[in-house]
Amino acid sequence: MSDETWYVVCDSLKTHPTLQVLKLERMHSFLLALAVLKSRVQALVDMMKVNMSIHAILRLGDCYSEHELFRKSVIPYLETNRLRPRVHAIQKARPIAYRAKVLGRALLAARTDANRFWMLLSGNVEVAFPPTTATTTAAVSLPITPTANAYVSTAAANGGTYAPNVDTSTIGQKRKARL
Amino acid sequence: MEGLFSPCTRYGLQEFRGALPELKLDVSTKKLLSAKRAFTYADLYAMLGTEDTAAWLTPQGYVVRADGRASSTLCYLHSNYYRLRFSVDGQQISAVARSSELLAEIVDVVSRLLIADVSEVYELVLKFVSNELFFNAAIFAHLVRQCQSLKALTLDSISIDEEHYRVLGNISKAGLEIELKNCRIVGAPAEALVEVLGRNQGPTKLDCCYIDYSVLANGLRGNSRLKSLEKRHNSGNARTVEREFLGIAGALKDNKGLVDLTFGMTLG
Repeated sequence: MSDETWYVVCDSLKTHPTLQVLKLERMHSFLLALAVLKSRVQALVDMMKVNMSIHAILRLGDCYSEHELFRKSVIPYLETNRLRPRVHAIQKARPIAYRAKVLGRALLAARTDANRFWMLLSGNVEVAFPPTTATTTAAVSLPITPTANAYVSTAAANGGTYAPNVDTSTIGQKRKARL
Repeated sequence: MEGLFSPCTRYGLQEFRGALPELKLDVSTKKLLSAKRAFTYADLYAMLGTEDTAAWLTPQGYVVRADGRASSTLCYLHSNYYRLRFSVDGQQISAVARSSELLAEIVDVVSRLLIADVSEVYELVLKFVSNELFFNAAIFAHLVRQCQSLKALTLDSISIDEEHYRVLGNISKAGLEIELKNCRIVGAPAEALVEVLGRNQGPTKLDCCYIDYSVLANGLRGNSRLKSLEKRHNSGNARTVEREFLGIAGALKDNKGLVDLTFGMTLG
């Protein structure tokens, strides 16, 4: 597949509403210049910044999947899309007490993955931080680290939604609000 | 079953590889298929034993269990024969004959046996092993319509004509997965497939089919029924490959149903 066609294919999938698994096999000749490889991975990043459903890109070959930009930027978006249905399912759980328990179990399972943890939390703010006086008081009394403060600011700016923690330094573009 | 078949040595299989019994039909196929006999596909499968019996249903066509020893032995002996594999909820029977016309005869018999008892058939796979075959569209339509419980229909390596694609369109319903695998779809049949897809009917999966994908692209636009598409391009013809990729890419913007998409290159 030529570079131009690669970009066209990535562009055409940006807004695809249902695609979940994309497999790209032997899509280039044996020798791929580093600049071309980076450009192709960047096209995948651009696609994933918009696409809300793709959660797996498979059979790409090691040169793509081990590329730093792929690991730091594409994979977080894929994971976000993979987790999104679960966040929605928790959001729909009723009654609220049951939803809080489900969220608790999900957070426990995701405790070692900052991206997943934050996505679950920010998608269920009203359950994680119920607007009661007691809770507010308790929250205010907690020491807030600069990192935590930044997270809260981001969530507030996104209306309580999640943006994956991608490597923006290489992308050079502002992250897009998701959900 | 009694009185329908008797042992024979038409091909001397017992001498060739030892203990490969052969049976021949002692009555006409009309009698075999009569409702009074109530002989079904399941009965035929049971009669063929665990793995090693060949049964001649017509003078020039026989059936064997597709996954048995008889099948592999006869496949070696009759490597140039035409064969079609039926798989009904995992019960696999191969129908084999020397020509496509003779195969059509025996396929007709097996299909009618299948129709006799299809109320609980959930999965039907038709795989043509050695060459092209055109089913009779009316029998095909009747067969599939009779399978009221059918959840998955697979046509593997089978070339069917435009009428069959219309049949596939007409039988489409929610909960019925239709897979076309390794099928050659060109000319009028390809146009018919595009027409069917355009109505949100027909296959839910296209797996490695030989088709002009720039033509198929028209069927992808607006379609929400096709869930899986696997396309392998021959890397030997770069210009055609690019044209087909671009055709599909253009159509994907308007597609609403694909869940699994594979683009691959084959060495050629």
